[in-house]
Amino acid sequence: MLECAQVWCQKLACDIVKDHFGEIVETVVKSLIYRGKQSMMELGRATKLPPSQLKNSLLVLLQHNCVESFKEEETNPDPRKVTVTMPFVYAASLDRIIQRLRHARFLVHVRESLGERAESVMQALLEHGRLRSDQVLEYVAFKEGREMEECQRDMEETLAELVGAHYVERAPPPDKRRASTQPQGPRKVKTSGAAMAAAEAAAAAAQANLNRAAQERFRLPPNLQMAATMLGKRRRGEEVADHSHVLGPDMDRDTLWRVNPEEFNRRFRHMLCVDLVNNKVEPAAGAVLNAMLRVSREHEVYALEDRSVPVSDLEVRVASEQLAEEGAPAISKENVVPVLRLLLSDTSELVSKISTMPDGGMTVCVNLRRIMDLVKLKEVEGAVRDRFGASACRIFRLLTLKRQLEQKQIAEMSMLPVKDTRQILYTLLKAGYVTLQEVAKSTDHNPQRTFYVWRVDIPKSVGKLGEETIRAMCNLRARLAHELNSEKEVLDLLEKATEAATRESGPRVTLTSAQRKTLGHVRRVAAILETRMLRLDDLILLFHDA
Amino acid sequence: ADLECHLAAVSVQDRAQAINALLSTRRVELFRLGDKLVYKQVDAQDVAKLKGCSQDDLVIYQLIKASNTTGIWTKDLRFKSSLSQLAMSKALKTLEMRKLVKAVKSVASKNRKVYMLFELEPSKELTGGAWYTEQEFDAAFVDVLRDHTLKFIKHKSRVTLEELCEFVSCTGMSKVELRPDDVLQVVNTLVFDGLVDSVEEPNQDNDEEVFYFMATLEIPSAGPFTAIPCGVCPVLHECKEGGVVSPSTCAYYKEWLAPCANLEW
Repeated sequence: MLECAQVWCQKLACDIVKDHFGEIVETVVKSLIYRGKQSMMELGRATKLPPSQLKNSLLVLLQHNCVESFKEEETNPDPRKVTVTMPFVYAASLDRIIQRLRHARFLVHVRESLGERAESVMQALLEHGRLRSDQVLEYVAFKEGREMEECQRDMEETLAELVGAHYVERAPPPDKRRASTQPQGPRKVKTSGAAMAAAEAAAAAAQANLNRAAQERFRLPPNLQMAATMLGKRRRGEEVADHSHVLGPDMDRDTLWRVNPEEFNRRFRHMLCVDLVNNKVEPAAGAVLNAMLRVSREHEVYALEDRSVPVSDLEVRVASEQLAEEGAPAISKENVVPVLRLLLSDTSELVSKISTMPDGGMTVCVNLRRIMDLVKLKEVEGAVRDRFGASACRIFRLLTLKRQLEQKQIAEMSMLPVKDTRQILYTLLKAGYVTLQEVAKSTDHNPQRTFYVWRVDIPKSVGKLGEETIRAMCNLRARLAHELNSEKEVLDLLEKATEAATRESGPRVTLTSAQRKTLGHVRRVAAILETRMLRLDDLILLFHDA
Repeated sequence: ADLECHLAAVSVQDRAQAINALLSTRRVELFRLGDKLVYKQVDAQDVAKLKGCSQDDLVIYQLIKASNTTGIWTKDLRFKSSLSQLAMSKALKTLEMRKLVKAVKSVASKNRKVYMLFELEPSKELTGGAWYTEQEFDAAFVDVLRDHTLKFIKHKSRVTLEELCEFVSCTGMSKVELRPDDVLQVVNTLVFDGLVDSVEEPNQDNDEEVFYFMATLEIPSAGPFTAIPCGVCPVLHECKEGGVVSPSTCAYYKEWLAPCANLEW
């Protein structure tokens, strides 16, 4: 999440937890968010809840992955001290809480790419937070109206496929050590060779740790591995003997599976990149980019990589064929290299060449950070235009292109009257999209003898819009709550009416026409607000998770 | 010193007397070059022009002449000539009547009167250039020009600045002659609006030339953020639950949700 939006992200997270789990759970999560990680005792003191309520709230939060538990590492292990059992420490994951708003989009994506059964499995995991594979089987069997034994094989294959695609991961054990999530790369360049070598070794070790952790997250237990191989064989059209009776007991009975939102965010990020290239260059280039990202996807470790892993043009050709088989827009083998060259020649540096291979081929990588920056900048320009007018957009773009200008120069170059320019510049300054710098010619900062220079700091403007989207989301939710609250009586009446309708006996509840009208109004208002929230979540994804 | 060389035969006093006589009849002008005093012969025409002018008139005339095409403001004139208001006004009236100077209006400061020599054209800064007609910025004219240029670029899909200038002068949209700089200014506004992109590429003569074409990445139209009242709200930063401006009591939301009032369930 962006640092400047921290305050609003915290507020939104508390609001979401209150809405989904109730006020008691909200108290606990509020304490964790605002005071940082705490042990159970500290939480008890801070929230003043009775222990049973505290324990249950924590269980709910852990079950739904809003809070993570781990054991704190001892910083100075003193051998003389008597070993004391380290308490468990709990920390809230803001990202995961806010991503709860995106569950509907996850389901749609899974249904489109992997089918309805995969969607059912995902729904089970999203509704319940974390489940064992037999619990998932129960849910899917109930949903499909079949017996559990019938769907076992299909469910296991689907689950294996989801884990293979990294959409689903193992829930981490409760007592894991807190590992650093970013490698300490050699960012500060030290001049001494020994120091650099040590830094490189540390970075390599961290990377190795990270790779091991990633492998562990998606490790399949034996029966699911078997299911995956069978699925692969069936897809390739080979003979598959029915091994269901051979399937032994699930040796990993305690494995809990949960949804991995990082992978979804990664896929959505790649989709945004492909869209940009489709619009900016041509659709064929978008198809080639899709193929490149497909190849590099498996090797991506972090969700927010700056560049994709380098791939050779041969791999790209193979991947584009695979994609064509799956129904994506086709691009012939011969066209791949010319389109790659076209992409490389584009001035925005969307794709870079890493090296040329001896046989004439080349390795290229996608500059994901650059593409995402372009998308975000375009959104900011659109927001400035809609909010402050076309002239303001012109001035904003002028400043991004020319870096820094005085007011007179701005008025001249944008061909706007001086009075309007001044007003627009000060409005933009108040909103935080431009900055003003004083360059004094004399030591006494006399206004007559100072240059006032206007600038646009692009990361700051992007951050500002990101913060405002979170704020808007909080406002939308508040408004929806208010609208529903104001018509509470009528809604309660509706609930009673539906209950009475399902019951065979008992008093009937009818609604007057005025009440029906009010209900229509509330329903429509709720629909509008909820659709807007879903669309706004796309922007939140763009600014905070992509 | 030069005069001394040329007129070695004449004595210093005679020379001084001659120069003074010429000065009084305005046949010679006096300038200062650094430390030295320099004398210049005045043209016969100018002599006729300035005949019968008082000392004040001459002072004012010299100052105005010095300001060339930029012109000089009345207050500056008074400051430099150290004349009283009355004397200065009288001198200016005389000069204007004799058609030696004229008053010009500046676009930058509409209330000021700027004086310059009669024969000279006001500079670009004063009139504002091609875009100002009668001291007002002609926004309509600029818009028309922008629209036509955009259509031309769309039609031709890739143009240079020269082709654009040709197009503009052919269509005769503007009464004033538009120079390449002016056309460049117009095209740049299209670039800043995100409608047109430019790229520098070497052309046949291996020179770097700038090409203009329609923008590939358009600025997105109403996004999810600006589609809701919060996105275009002028008081977004003062809004908080329980405050004067809050989501629950927001008037903008009320207006936005008003059309849902009349729907049957």
